[in-house]
Amino acid sequence: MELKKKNSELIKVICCLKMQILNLDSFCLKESYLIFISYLLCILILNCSYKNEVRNPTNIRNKNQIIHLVTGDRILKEIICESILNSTLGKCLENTNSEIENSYFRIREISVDAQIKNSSYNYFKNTGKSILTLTIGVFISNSAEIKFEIRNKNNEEQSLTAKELNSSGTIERWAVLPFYAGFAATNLGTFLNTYRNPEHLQRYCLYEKISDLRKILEANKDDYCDNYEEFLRNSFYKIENDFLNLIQEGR
Amino acid sequence: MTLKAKGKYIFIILLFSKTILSDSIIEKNKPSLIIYGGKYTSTDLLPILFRQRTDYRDSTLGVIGLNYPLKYKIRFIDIESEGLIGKHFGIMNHWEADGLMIARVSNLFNLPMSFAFGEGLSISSQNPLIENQKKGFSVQNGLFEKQGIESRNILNYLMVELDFRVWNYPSNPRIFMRIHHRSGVFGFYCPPDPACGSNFISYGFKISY
Repeated sequence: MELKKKNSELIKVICCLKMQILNLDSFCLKESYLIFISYLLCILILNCSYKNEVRNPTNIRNKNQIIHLVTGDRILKEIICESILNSTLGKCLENTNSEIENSYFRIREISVDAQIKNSSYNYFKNTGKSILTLTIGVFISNSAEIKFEIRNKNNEEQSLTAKELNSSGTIERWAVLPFYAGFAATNLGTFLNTYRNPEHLQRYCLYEKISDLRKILEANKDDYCDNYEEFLRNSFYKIENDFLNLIQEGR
Repeated sequence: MTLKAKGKYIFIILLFSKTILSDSIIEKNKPSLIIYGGKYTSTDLLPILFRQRTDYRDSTLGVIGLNYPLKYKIRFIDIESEGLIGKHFGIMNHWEADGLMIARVSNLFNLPMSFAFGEGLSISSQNPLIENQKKGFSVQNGLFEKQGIESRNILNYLMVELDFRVWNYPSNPRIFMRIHHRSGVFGFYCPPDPACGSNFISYGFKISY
């Protein structure tokens, strides 16, 4: 008897969902309120999802070792130094050459370069995801592959080891909109978001001056660098352990 | 006063505001409190937007809401979320709640004004009287309706807004004009022909906190 009751309730819910998704010819007020509240909840969750990862430095580290990180990419340097500080390897050298000469600590020189390739604005992935969410999901993302070239130089032995680590990074945002609107926003958003291709971000964050027109139509330097940092963090954290092991091996 | 005439007055205010409010001390990305009121017009959204055509009826709406910037930008478009609660007066007497996402273009023409487009869901506590129409002769508009209009409690919500900063103050007080639009999206939420929905031409103010 109970099973029958449960079954009929389930059928009622499925019918209601079907009506909402397809044509909504007859209308169930209670279920509509539930759908509306879940929509508001999704917006609330979305608000909370825009948080950057923050890491606290650990106290257990090799206090006698300082790593001199050589790279032309100031954002990458910041991320790697933060990672080293969180590990037990020591800390990054932050100041001048005279400090290297006068330093009491053991100094290791590591050179890191990041090469970004195959940037994409993931059109098919985004629209596919939106269709999977019955067109209520808005998905906007950019991704690329990245190759970290690491040269590990030991000052005492003057030996040089070089290694490469491959990773991939994504800058992604999602939102919830009513049926169809999510799909339309995904298409429009993906089309407008092409300037967030990682190669483009790296170029305008690090190397090129941004014209006034580009500032209006795309983004300013800070925005470019914030997005580039997000991409670098996303890709670097995927190989962080391998990277730290590599530095440790070369010790 | 027609919508076109109101628009002219607002434009004149803007020209003055350009000189007064050129240096901004406004901190962006702060949540805002929104209050607005509007009057029902039986004209469709596109004639209102492009031809400023209105046909007001004795149905008004009072709304209070919260706007929350999502601190995310696509090119020159800021993305925001908003929640609204409204009460209808006059011909209708029910409550309404709306949840939406907004795309906003700020500092239009280097003036302290912005244009926004919002899309979301709207739900009312009862099926809005004015959004429904019976078959046959209509007393409201004096026309013979071949087919009736059947509306629903839950409909798509859409808004078009133009806001102007009125004072260069950290709480960023703004006045705005908004078209509060509920619709069935070509038959998705209600039978398509004739389409259901309503438009309220609204005026209000918002303040950041």
